[in-house]
Amino acid sequence: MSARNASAGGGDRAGDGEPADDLLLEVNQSSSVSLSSLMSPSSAASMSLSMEMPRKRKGSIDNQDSKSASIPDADMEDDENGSDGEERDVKMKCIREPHSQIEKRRRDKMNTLIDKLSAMIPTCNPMSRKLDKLTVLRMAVQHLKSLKGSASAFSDANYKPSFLPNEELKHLVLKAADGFLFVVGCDRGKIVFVSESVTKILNYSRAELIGQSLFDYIHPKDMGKVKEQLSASELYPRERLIDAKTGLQVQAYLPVGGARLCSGARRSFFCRMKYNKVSVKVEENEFQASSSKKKESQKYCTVHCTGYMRSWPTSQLEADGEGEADKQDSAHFSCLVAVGRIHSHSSPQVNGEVKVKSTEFITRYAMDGKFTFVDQRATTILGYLPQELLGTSCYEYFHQDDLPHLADRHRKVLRSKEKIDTNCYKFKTKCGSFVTLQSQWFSFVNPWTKEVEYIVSTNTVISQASRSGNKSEQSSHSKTSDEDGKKSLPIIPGISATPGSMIYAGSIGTQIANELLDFNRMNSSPSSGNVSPFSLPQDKSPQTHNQISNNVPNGEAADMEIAGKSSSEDEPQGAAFSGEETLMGEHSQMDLDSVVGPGLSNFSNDEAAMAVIMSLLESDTNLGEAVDFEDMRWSL
Amino acid sequence: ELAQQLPLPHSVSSSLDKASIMRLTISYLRMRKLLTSDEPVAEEETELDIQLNSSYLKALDGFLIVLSEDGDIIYLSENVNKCLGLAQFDLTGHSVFDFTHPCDQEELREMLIHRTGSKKTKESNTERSFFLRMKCTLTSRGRTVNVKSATWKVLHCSGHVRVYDPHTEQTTNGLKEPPVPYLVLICDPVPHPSNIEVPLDTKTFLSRHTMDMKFTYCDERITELMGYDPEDLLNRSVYEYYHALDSDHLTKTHHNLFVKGQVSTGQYRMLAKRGGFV
Repeated sequence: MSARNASAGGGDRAGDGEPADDLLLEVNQSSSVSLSSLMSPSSAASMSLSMEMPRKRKGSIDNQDSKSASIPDADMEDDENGSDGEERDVKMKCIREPHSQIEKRRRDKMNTLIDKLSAMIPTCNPMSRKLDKLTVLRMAVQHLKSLKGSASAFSDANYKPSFLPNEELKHLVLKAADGFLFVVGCDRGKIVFVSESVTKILNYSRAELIGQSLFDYIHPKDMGKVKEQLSASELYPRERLIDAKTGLQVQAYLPVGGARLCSGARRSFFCRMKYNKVSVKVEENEFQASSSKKKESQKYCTVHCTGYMRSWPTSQLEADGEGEADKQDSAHFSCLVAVGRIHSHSSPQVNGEVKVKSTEFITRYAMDGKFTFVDQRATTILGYLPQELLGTSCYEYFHQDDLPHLADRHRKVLRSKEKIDTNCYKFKTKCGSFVTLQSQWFSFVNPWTKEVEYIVSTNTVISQASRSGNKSEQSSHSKTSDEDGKKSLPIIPGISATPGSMIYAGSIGTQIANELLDFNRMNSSPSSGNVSPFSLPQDKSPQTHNQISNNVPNGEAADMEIAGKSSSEDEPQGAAFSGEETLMGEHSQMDLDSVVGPGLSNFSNDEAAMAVIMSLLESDTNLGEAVDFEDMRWSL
Repeated sequence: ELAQQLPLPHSVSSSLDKASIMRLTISYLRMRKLLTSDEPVAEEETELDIQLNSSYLKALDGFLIVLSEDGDIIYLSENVNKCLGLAQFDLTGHSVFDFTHPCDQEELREMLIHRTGSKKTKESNTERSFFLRMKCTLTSRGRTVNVKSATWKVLHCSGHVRVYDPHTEQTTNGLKEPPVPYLVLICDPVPHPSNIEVPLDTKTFLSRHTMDMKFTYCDERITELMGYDPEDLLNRSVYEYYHALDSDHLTKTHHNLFVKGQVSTGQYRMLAKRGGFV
C-alpha cells in the first residue's frame, strides 16, 4: 500500500515539481494512516498526541522519499488510499504564483492548517518522530473514511451529503436552544408530532401531547393568535405592506388566498404554553396533567415558535410529498412544522421576588477620601458626572452633620480590614439637595506594600426615613465654644468658589489619611481611639469641633486642634464652607459669624471642621497647638 | 482526495482549493469530536422522527453556528446563505471575527468565554443572547454580491455554551485533553418591518417612534390590545408605559439599538389604558 502511495507520489512528483504536490500527496498518505488508526479505540489519545507533532516545512522534493519511507511505519493498518484521487488533486492546485512572498504566505497558511489537521486526526501514538504533512493528510483521509463508516455513500445517486447528518443537526439545535419540534395540523390544531425534547422543556411526555389539540396547551389568551397563525388568510385579507422607503404602511389588497397557506410559507410568533411544574417522572407528569385542569395552577412559559407550513398527503402521514397546499384538497394535510424555543433570558423574573435593584453605586476613594473612581450609576443618583467627582474629596459632599461620623468611619476603615458600615448620611447632589446614602467601606491594602491603596465604597440610596442619626448629631451642637477659636485662624474670606472648598473638604480626608501614615510611622497604638501624637484637649473647639468630638474618638478632635496656623487654613475653611450650599443643621453657631467674613455665612459646621482639619494637615504634627476655630463660621 | 472524503456534495468538493479542503476537514473533524462525546440518543426514533429531523433547520428562521473558544467557525448550517448570502463552506473553518463587525468583536469574545463553575457558583450560566452584526451579501432584491461590498446585518444570536468533555473517551496513553467549551448559537435575523415575510397577527401591532422613543405613529391594533387610541400615544415617550422593572432591560435594548441598528427586546410589560399591564 505504502509502496503504491510512494510510487504515486513519486509519479506526481515527477510530473510537477511544485511544492503543492507534496502537500496533496501528504493528504492522501496521512489520511490513510489516520483512518486505520481510528479503527482502534485510541482515537482520542492519538489525537492528543498528534498535537505534539511539529510541522515540517512544506515539502520539498527531498522529503518525498523520506515520507514515502515513513509511510509503512505510519500506517497502522491497511490504507485504502486511492491514488486516483491524487491526480484530481493535482489538477485542483492553484495556479503557480510568481512571487515568493505570496508563495511563502500560502505555505505558512497551509502549514498551519496541516498542524491543525494533525491535531484533529487520531494519528497513531507510537509515532515518535514527527509526522510529515503527507502523512498527516493521508491520515486525515483515512480518518474521514472511517468516520463515514461502511456505507457506500458515493454509490447513492440521491446522496446529498451534508456536513452534518440531520440527526446530529437536531442535537445541535437542541444544544443551542431549549427547543422542540412540533407539527400541528392547521385545521384543528392537532398535535401530530412533537419531538422528545419537549419533555425537558414543558415537562409533558411525548405520548401525552401527540394527538392532543394544541389549543389545550396554549394560554387561553393566546389561542386567537395561534389560530390566526395556523389558519388561512380569509380573516385578514389586507396584507399590510410597509413601504421600505417611507416606512409607512401601505394597504394593499392582494389576493392573499393562496399565498398564506402554501407550502413553505413561514410563521413566527410567540405564544404561551403550559408547562408542568413537576419534572420528576413521566408518570407523575401524566397524573398531574390529567388531574389538574385549573388554569390558575398551570404555569405558562413563553415559547418562540418559528416554522413553516407543509402539507402532507393524508394517505401516508409520513410521506415526504409536498404539493401545493390547497385547502380544499382533503387529500393533503397542511400543517405547521415549527421549532419552539424558550428564551429564558428574555422573560422577566417571575419568581415573585421583585428584584428591585437598590439604587446603589460604587465609588473608590484614595486614602484621603478623594474619589478615584465613580460608578456611572452615580450620575443618576447624584447628578454629578464621574469626571466631576474624580479628584475631589468626598468630604465636600457630605453633609456637615455627618462629617464626624464619616470621618470616624474613615479612620476606622483605614485601620481595619473589615467592611465598615456607615450610618445614613447625606450626600450633596449636583442640584444642591441631599440624598441619603448608606455606605459600606472597605479598604484595600496592597499586599506587597502593605499600604492602603484605596477604599471601596458601596453606596446605597435609602429613603428619607431615618433621620434619627442626624438628629442626634445635631443635638450635640448646642454648645458654642469659641474660646479656642480665635487664635491665628485666619478669617476665611468670603469665598464662594468651589476650588477653595474642594481643597478644604479634602483636608479632612487628607488629614485622616495622614493620620494613618503618621500613625504607622510612629507605630504607636491608639488608645481608645486616641491617636497618641494627637492627644489634645478637646474643650477648646467651636461647635463643629464639639460636634465632631462628641461623636468621634478623641483622636480626631485632637487632630483638628492640631491644625496649625498655616495660611492654608484660610482656603480650607472658605472652601469647605462654600461647598455646602444648603444647610440642614439646626444648631446655631452664630458666634462664628462675627469672626469670619460674611461670605462664610452659609458654611456648615462640616466645613468648618474641614477647615480645621485642613489646617491640621498643612502643618506637621503639631502637638498642643490650639486651633483657631473661633475664626470659623458655623452657620446654620 | 481528501476533498472526496468530505461529506460534501460532489459539486462543491470538486471546486475547493487546498486551503478550503483543509479548513473543512478540520472543522468536520472537530464537529465529530464534539458530537460524539454526547450521550447517545436513548430512545429509538420513529420513522417520522427521522424524517422530521431534516425539518429542524428549515423550521428555524436563522442558521446555526458552532464556534470554538477562540472564534473559529466549526460548523455553520446551510441556511446561512438564505440569511446572509454567504455560503456555508466559504465560512466554515474561518474565524468568525472575519465576518463580524469590528465593534461587536469584543462582545463576541466575551460571549465565548466559558468560566467553569467555581465553588461559588454551582453552575455557570451557559446561556448567551446578544446581537451581532455580520456581513451580509444579500441585496434587497435577494441577489448576492461580493463579500467585499457586503453590508451589515443584525442577527439575534442566542444559544448556549456547551462543554465537550473528553474524559469519557479512552486515551491509550493516559493523556487527557482539557474540556473544550464551544458555543452553539442560533442566529436569527431581526425582521425589518418592511420585509416581513411572516404574516403578523392581530396581537401584533406596529408603531413608529422618534429616536427617543416617542410615538409618531401607531397601528390601530393597539386599541383592542391595550385600550389606547393611537392618537393618545402620539408624542409621548414609550418609556412612560414601560413597567418599572423592565425599564432596565429596555434601556439597554434601546442603547443596543443605537449601536447595532436593529434590536429585539425580550418580554416586557406595558401599561394598558385602564390600568394593569400587558
